Amino acid sequence: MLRLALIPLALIAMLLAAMLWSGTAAEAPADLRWINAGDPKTLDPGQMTWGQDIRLANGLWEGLYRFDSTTMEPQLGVAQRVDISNDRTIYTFHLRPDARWSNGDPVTAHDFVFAWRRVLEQNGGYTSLMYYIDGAQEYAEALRTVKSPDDPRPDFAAVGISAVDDKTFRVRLKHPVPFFPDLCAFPTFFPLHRASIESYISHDPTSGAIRIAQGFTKPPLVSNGPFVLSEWQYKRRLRLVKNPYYWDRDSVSLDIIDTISADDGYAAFQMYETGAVDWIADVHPDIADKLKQSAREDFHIWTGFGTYYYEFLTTPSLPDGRPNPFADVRVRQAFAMAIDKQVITRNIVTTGETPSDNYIPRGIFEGYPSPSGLAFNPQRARQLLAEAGYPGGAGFPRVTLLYNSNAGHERIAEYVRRQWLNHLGVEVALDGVEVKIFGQMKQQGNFHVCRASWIGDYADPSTFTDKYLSVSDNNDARWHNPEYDRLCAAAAIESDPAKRLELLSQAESLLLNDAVVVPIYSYVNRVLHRPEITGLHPNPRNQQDFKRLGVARRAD
Amino acid sequence: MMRFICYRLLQFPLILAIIYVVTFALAWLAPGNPLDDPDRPLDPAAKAQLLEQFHADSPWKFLAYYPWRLITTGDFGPSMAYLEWDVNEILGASLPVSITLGMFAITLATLLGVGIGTMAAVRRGGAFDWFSLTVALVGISLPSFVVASMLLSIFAVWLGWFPVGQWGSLRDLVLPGVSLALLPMAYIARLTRVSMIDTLSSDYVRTARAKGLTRSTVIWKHCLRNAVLPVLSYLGPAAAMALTGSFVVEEVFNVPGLGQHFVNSVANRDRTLILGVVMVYGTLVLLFNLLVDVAYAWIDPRIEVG
Repeated sequence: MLRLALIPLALIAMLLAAMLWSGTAAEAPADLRWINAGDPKTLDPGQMTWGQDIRLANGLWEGLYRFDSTTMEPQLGVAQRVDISNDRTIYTFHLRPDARWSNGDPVTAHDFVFAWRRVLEQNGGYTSLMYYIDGAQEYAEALRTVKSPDDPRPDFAAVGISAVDDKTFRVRLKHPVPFFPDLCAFPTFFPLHRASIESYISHDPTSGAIRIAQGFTKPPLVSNGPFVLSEWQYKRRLRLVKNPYYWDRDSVSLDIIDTISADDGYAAFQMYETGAVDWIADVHPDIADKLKQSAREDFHIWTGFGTYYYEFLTTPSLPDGRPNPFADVRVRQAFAMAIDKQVITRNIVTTGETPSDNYIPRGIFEGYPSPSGLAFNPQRARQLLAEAGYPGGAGFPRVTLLYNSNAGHERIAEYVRRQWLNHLGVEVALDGVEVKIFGQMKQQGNFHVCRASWIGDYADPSTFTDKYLSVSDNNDARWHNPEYDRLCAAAAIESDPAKRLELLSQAESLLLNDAVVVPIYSYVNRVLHRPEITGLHPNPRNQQDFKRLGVARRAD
Repeated sequence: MMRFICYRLLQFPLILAIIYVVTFALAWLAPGNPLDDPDRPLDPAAKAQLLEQFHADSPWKFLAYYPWRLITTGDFGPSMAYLEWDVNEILGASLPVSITLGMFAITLATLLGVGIGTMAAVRRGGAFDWFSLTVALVGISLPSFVVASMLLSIFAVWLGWFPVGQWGSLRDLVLPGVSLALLPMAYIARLTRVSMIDTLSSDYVRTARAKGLTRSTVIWKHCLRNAVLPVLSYLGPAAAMALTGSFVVEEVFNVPGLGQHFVNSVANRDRTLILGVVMVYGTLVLLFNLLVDVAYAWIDPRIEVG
């Protein structure tokens, strides 16, 4: 009997021990608790590419400029004053004397030189944004070709990045870049506090390039933004506390912000409903749909910064060697004009997305003249297909529509398949594959027509148009158009902002009328927050300035 | 007995090595790359640099680096999808959570399951037996996402008795624990009932009753010891499974446990993390099977091990 009773007793003893092992201590409650759009992938500003990471980085760091979340215009950050040369290629930044790191050290021009140089030497997702700086691309590429320690190494002095003195930082650009202040507010251009991460820094034995090992972004992380990272528990919580040394600390009204991890959209919503969090940066589409129907006042739909679309492989032959029907522009145009997108945003994606004929969402860039794309026109589509040699779809080779399954894409794909069958008489096979396989197939050009999406990074249309340059690694359609390349290159060196936007608009027009892409709808941001929270502003990138956040009165 | 345990413990490294190699081969054969995302493609130079840093630019480099590192330092290396974290840090953060939840669930399942099973066998054909059969049927057939969502809606959202999506206190343990316990509890109740009925009709029970022992002494002292043996053999794998968490229950209650990584690491092709979770699970299964074998011999002296 005793032996038998020992089993449950042992179970209970082990349970108690386990609870002690995994428990957490009680601590100060946060002023604001929120759920980001996904867990942060990295907090290393030089490596980050994801919106959720950038959102946190804007709270932790400050670049030479910072975004004003109401207008999304860059405002001076660490820089107090900027002298720009007459030809607009040399920027001399005078840093604020009171700009300090969270350990009290002054922020110096050397911190910027170190961080920017590191981005060139240790490639991050956005190293290419630095290539607007004179000599930067040459330097980064030369460094990559160093294959033995005896090879000559490129000289960093040739790169247009220099510290004139502790508080003066100078950048020389290749040509005028109207959105350079925007870039300076982007995490790739944030400074790093070298002294506190010295133990993570090494040098590549061959090229001598700087390497910063993963993991330096754990507390105590020295940063220079309005907040510091006080705690980061894996998949649980990330706590930001006010930086006592921030130069503009008097404008920061919150003391503690907790970012709660919640992978599941339903769990996140229940946490909001029961008061465990106050703000959800990205609401699950199914829940958003219900909230929209019930017209909840705390639910907001904001214009997004990206487009959901389909793209064609444009190479002369298909991956299996057959001739590619989509190499003919008339075929692509016919397919593009045979989709009634209204139905998709009315019945399939129903959280306020707008059907679109544009690759660059309309209205997200001030002053950008959006070109008109190919609208729904089944008669014209049939005519084009007949001209291309497939009247009524007769004789059209068997092609496949590739998408990644399990994310709602199959519903759109099924609808598009029926549209093409009804309007063009072409039967397209559907191929839904797992997301990693999808990514690989797309990258290798192993598709005929596939689902795609693009979300912009910085406040210039080139963040969209660059994807379809002949030299772009992300040009999955394999579309090469010298005129498009020429227009984009001309825009890059055009100093008149209006003319620049006009050139980019012509480029987009070319992309749309060549029907390389078939835009379907523009994304939206679905945000849920309590009315008491102040300082959250609608903006396409859904980036918020943590410095301006406040709580009017506590809900509890 | 000691010889038996030592012998089994000596087998562990060999079995674990086989698990490692098979898992590695499967993880490597799966198409795709931990650093690729179709909607956010990484710059090729940055990708090449990261893969090199991870010793993951070829399977041979991977095999030359990680197994040795694991044997000498017990370190699984960096996660390839959660760039800021080491696999050991991830396991260290999520395993205690899953073990706590799993222990809670298994304790609950064993106590309730054995109790219900015994009562049902004793009152065979009665109302309680009928009730226990229904509970067991429901427990076995209802998928955990239904149970978990129902418990969440009723007790947390509607009645407000329990918090939602938090972790740290005993109260946070109850709902996910109950969701996780239901299935093993139902199995245990069924197993106990069947073997109890078997035992109740055996000769020694009749003898014991004829000697004048009370009914409850016979049931709880003499019968249960024999009736519980099939439950024990089930408990080993069930405990290993419960302790390593459940993807569904963790998603619904937002529990930061290990179960999510079984699914996510594969979806992310996070090869180091896949190896980490599989090795942890393998070790737990081996350990619990050993524990069960030892407990068997200990409860029933007729069983000899070794």
